[in-house]
Amino acid sequence: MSNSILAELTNVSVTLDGRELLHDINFQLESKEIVSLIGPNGAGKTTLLRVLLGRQAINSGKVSLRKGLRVGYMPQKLKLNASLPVTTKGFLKLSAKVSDKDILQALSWVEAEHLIDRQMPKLSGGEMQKVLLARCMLRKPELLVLDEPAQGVDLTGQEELYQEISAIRDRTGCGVLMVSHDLHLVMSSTDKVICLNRHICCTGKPESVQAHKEYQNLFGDSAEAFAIYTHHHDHEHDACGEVIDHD
Amino acid sequence: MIEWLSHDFFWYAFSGALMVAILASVLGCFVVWQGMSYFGTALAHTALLGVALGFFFGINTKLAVALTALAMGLLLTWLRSIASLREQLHNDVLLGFLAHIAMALGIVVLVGIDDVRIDIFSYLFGDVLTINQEDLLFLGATSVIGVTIIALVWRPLLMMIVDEELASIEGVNTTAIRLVFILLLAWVVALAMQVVGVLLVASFLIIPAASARRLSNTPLQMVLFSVALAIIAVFIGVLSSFNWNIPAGPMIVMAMAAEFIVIWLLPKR
Repeated sequence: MSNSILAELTNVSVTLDGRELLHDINFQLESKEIVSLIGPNGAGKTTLLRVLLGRQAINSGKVSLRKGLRVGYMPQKLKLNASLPVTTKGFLKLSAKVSDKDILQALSWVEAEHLIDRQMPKLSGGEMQKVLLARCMLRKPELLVLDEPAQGVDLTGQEELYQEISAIRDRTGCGVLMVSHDLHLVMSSTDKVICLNRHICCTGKPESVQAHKEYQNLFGDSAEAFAIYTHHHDHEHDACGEVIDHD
Repeated sequence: MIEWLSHDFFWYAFSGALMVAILASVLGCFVVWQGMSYFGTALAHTALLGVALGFFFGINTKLAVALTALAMGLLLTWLRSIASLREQLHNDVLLGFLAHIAMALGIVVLVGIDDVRIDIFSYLFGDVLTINQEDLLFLGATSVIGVTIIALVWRPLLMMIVDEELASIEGVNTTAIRLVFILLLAWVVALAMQVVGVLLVASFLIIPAASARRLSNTPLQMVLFSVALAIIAVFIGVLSSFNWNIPAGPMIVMAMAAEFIVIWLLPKR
């Protein structure tokens, strides 16, 4: 593996309870590269992240991570129990041995220094995601894995969050893999897009993926087109997303 | 009025209740943070079965109760891991009926062993007057060990409470930590039974922690407040129990309840 390659998936397939969740997945993640994983609900995006993080066993293929790779993972959402009194600072100190200075710096990267003494359970969705992102950075990751980082965040907040993610990449040179629902928003800050629907439908630079017929069919321009989609190549998907071959 | 202050059995009762309350109020915070209060209750409900099994196999009652409660904890954890069960039944249903099945089974087995005459009432509501010097040493030692274990797993346990999957990704052995926690919980049930009784064990866990929540900004603060409130409640509870000749367990619980009401009625800071 060349040194800039952080992780590589080769012919990875995952079957769970007789259902194929991922089929023949191949891709590489490089440092300084932001890769967005898009696809409809049930496309296997989270499963793919779990495979990468070693949380999901694979049935065939190979997952190789660069030796000693430090991975920072930001979950989709933190389900904090309101009965736990914890400030942002206390929360950030839980995961790693860090100084107050480190914490302030990480929070400043996501423009959230003012949250340092706030109670975590009382943060808004957007504030919580910022703190989670800062938390990732405190672990000094070489690969940042984000599962729908902008979920539950309002539109302006989403844009801000994606800008902060690419600023972090510029600053630290880490590689980023993020799952997203909304390509319109990630377009400007992503280098490579992987369009997933249990298999990789198409992949490439955002512009080329946007122009790709499969992408257009998969996402269209309305919510309805988001749920109902067909492919015009060698196969179609039924309502459950199963692949139906053309005769 | 206070002549009993000079009697050994008063100080055994008082110190014993104190030891149990301290350990329970520390563990109780973690129970509250994880939304496991009924889990604690379910473990406590196995205690009668534990007593019965202890008599049946001729082993130490506390040990038998702790092992039975541990078995219940592991059973519940295992049932939670079964996807089909989890998808169709909410957790509280499992907890609810298993707790009562254990209780019913306990009573059936206890009554069934007819060569032993057992005062079920003292197991249900506790009897601090039965605490002797040997018990006290044992309660003290195991409470210190329990609190030390919590201190040792403090950080990983909190990480697990915040987000189990995240903790596990970041290298916390969540299975081991959870096992340690259930073990401690089972142990506290066994210890608390003598003081407060099967039916009221869970209040020792939950009420001081629930009161402390209002006063705290950090997890450590909440644990310290919880312990302080438990100590005060034991003080009031045991004294009034001796004064008015009422069982100490329920009196301590009443004192804890009074603390809860006062604290939550305090004006907002």
